[in-house]
Amino acid sequence: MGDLKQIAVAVVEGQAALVKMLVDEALADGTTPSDILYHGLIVGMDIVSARFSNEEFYVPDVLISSRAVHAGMRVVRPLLLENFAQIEGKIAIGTVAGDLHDIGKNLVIIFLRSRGYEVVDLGIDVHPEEFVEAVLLQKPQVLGMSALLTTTMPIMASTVKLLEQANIRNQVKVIVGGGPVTHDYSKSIKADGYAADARSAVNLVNKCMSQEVKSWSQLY
Amino acid sequence: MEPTVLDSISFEVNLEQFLKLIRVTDKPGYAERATILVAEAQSIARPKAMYREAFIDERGNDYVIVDGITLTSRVLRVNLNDAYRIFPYVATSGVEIEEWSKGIEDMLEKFWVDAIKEMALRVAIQTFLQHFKENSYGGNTSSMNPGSLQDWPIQEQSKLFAILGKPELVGVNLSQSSLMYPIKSVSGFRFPTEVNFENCQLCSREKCPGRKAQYDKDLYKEKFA
Repeated sequence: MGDLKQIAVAVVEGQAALVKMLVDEALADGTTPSDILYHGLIVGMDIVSARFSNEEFYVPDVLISSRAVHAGMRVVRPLLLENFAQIEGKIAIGTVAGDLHDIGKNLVIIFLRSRGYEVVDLGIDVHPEEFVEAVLLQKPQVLGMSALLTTTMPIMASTVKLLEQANIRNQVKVIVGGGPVTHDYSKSIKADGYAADARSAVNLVNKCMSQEVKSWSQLY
Repeated sequence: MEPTVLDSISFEVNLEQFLKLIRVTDKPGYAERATILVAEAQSIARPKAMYREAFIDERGNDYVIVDGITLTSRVLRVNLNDAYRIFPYVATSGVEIEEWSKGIEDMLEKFWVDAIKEMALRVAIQTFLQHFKENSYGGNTSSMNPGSLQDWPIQEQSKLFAILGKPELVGVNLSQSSLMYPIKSVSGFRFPTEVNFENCQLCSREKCPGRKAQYDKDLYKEKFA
């Protein structure tokens, strides 16, 4: 496991070339792609995530570490697929209509992709109809909506209603986040979950994807 | 009155400060790439701003009519109690750098370029404020813009643009959601006032990175209700 620890450290330090080299070496030594992913790359990104939450790391640091993770992911992902390892799940995520703030959303995407999730980035200024279309076309297990303005939060409620009207509300778990959004607000619009920051968003998605979750209410 | 268009704004990034901002001073490979992007951005960016003087025709309980266009906001109405003219404006990083930035795919580089575009916008704002103070109104002013408070929704942005007239002169237009394109653009009205006003004074949101003034929980009741 020593090599895996080095991989995690290299991720934290944002050393993309070193991560790739260490991943290649670990594979050559017989370490499984799954161990490299879960005990090396993801451990490193979890440390990055914790440091970001503690304000020891800033957005540029996270992005640099993310690059390092993906340098390793590019090597292990095809091998995981070859071995029929399960790809974790699919999330569609966007910033709601009238809102162009995307740093928080992008961080969530980075952390989710670093966990092996497939993420469909719907971008900014996404209208309820576009969220619904994404659910219909992309068939994600989770739909994420972000808003940074109090004035654009009602778009989240409109989207939930539109999903109900389209009879696809039960096909997707809806999670919300962003500066002014609160736990109470998410409940009031009948979202399935609320995340206060990028780190908790990943935990929430993990919960959403978990087979153990039998009902929406367990997410709160 | 014809708008004043500021479209020859020079833009230069302080490279040392920028590399520090994006935290790559100790990462030579990244610093080198960021330096290249800064050089490209500087050669392409054309920050711009425009503003004009407009006159208040009429006031109601929760609206004002400016140059024949009705703006519906109780807060704006009260803030303009003592004003007879206002100055609609828009400042932008410019369509040139916005279009160039669309070619950047990498998430890290996108973040860097976003920071450069933000700098271009700040230069445009500073240039506008200086020009405005020197040529139009040297006294104390505050600013309001649609979309920051529930009281004045972003849908009123199109009215601001109509009063401003010809925002296409600086390449700014509105989306279906009334968001401005280029994304790095700001708009609003400056108005003469002895008492400084910021939208933030009426917004209770905690931990807001853009906060310019403390939330005053009694202000709305005392002044605007």
